[in-house]
Amino acid sequence: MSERIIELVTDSFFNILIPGLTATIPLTVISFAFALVIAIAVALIQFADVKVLKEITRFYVWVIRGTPLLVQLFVVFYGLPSIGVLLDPFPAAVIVFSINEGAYCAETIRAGLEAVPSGQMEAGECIGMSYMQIMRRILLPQALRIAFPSLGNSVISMIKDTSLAANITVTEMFMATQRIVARTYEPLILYIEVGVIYLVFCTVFTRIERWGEKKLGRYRI
Amino acid sequence: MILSVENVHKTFEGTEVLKGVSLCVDKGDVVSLIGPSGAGKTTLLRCINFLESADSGTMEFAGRKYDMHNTHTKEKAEVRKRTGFVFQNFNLFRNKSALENVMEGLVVVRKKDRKEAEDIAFATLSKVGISTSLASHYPSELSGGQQQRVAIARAIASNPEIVYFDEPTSALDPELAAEVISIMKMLADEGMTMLVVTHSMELARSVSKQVVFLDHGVVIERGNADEFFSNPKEARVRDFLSLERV
Repeated sequence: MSERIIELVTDSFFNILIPGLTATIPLTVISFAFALVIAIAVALIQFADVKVLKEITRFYVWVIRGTPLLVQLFVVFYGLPSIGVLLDPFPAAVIVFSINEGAYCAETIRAGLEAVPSGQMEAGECIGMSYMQIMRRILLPQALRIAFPSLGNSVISMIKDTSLAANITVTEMFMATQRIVARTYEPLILYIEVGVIYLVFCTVFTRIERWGEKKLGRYRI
Repeated sequence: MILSVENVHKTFEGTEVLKGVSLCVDKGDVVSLIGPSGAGKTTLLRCINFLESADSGTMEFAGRKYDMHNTHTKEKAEVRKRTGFVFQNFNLFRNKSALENVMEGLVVVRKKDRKEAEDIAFATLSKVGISTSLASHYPSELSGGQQQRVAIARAIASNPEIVYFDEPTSALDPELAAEVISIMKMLADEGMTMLVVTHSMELARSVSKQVVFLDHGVVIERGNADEFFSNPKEARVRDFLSLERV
């Protein structure tokens, strides 16, 4: 019995790990990078109180945070083709994950900006810096530093959430596992195995986050 | 005359904080703005550097006139490039070292190259008694007195025409305050033009050449510092100073 388990785990290991390295991780990293860009733009618009744009970004955050990620994936991948927008699974997943994560991170970064004392902005103004210079060089770095642990948390959530992409036919780790299960009828062992691999991935990212936090820790906020 | 403001009014939520204050500062002058809490001293200083927008009032700075209520962003920047501001709670950029704090305005606003800015920053820091080894420290790694001296260095590094001080010693214990006062005294002796809001009579006595006494948004008395402290004319000022001596 135990020999069979070992054989099953070793046989399936690379078949699960490789989609993890070629799909799960890239999907997370690429989507998170786009999400950060969206989040910073949205946070800046909300912080600066830009009139019409602010209403648009609030609507965006409201819709995205109020609907399930799975529904968003289905709308984009299965829904959009009916109006002529056909996307491959991976790009569709990147778009949905970026837009989804962007809404959550926008709130985190906006809160970070608001947590920077107003004296920092005033000090910048008093030496003659422009709003954008102060934002780029003083406020945003401090806000991101404040937001860093929460953003790290978001990355870790996202690693796990990418398993939902299996539903739109992205061959990531979870889908790879499902296929092996369909062949071997060993759901317990294989799903535990993929869970352990997710756990390892998340642990690695947690370590990276801790290390980054230490690196940034020299100036205390 | 480098700076004059005329008839400045400012109301916060129904309370009139400044009721038509006028003030002028000559080149090389050190003017202290004193008076009880809530007199409007800090508000006046913040209006002068556009951190608050006055309800009305005009300002003449370095030969140019400005409307203190409707001030264009460009005009604000133009004035701020030629002035320095020192805050009560220092407001050093927390994500930058002492040296970078001083360099920031030189590099970003004055477009000096990094090497030149660094030389100026080191020289200015050493002038306020911050050694080269402290220059790489972040604000959170410095004492209050050190932070305020770095803030003074940041304010004077670009050779401003006037430096504004908003209660520069209020957040410091007497020992650290003394450090800051001695730096300000040195600057005064060098002929730096300064406008100083303070609660510290020690600071007002040791650095100022002129004193303006403000109460309830109105100037009560103004005059030469020696005369003001030895022989104040107004009863309100005598009361205030006598309390101060106890």
